Amino acid sequence: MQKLPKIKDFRAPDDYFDTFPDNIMDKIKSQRSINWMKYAAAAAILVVSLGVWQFNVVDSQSETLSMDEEVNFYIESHYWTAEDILAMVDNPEEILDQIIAEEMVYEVDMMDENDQNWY
Amino acid sequence: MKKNGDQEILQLIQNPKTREMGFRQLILAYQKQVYHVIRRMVLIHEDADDITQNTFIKAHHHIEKFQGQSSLFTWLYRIATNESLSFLEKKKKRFFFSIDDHQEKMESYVDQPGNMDGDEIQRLLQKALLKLPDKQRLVFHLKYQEELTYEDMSAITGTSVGALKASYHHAVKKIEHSLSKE
Repeated sequence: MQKLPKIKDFRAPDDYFDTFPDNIMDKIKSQRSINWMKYAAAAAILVVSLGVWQFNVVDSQSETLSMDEEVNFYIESHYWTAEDILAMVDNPEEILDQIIAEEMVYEVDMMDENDQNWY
Repeated sequence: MKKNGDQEILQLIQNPKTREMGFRQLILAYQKQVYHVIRRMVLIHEDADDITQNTFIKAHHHIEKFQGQSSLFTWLYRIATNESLSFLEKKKKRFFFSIDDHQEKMESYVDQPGNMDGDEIQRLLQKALLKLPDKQRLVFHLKYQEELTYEDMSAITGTSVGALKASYHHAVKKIEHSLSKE
């Protein structure tokens, strides 16, 4: 490899190194002010959340009632799908079996009706 | 490898009142070396510019943790080379999903008039280097181009001296073979 010359480095654009230090210092300063904004925003969210939590403290009984109302609202407005609800319960198979059993009875009844009218 | 001004730069940085001035001096002292070690790896100026900026911004972020166990040069080169290798890794993954071949793109960049100075040998040498794995190419540049000691290279790359010697020796063989075919 001693027979070969050194590799000629690629040329940087003119004035690149003249302006580079200023570019970096400017970016560092703007990052600092962004960090301050993030901390301020996080602190504001924390204060607001604490305030909302304090404002909304209720006793346990009325909390249960409002929970039922809230659940009904989510189901009736189709905000929760069937899959969502099954994922939240402890015994999804049992509930599915129950639903299937109820539907089968209805289907069986329907079949009987059809049989009666078929001739 | 330690520049004489390192102590002065570090003293300025350690003092909160002169930190900005000290960091600016650090940039002035090392910007060209850092840029060129990156550009040799990524070839394209815009990419080298991004990575060089990231290198110094990261250095600024971590400068208070710098304990002087290595030189500023070694420390900056370590950040620069890690950033370059990460960049190339990500770029190759993006190319994996496209029709264009990353290596072909880099080789065509070397062939484009105006992108590099030098004669045919230079062009062939650059293209031969592009055939090496990125880490081996880095080792070659640090040894052949910058003439660093293996100890400095070991501090920069986190690789043993023995492994670096083997890698460099193998890189030289591959390049000689590649050039002899032309």
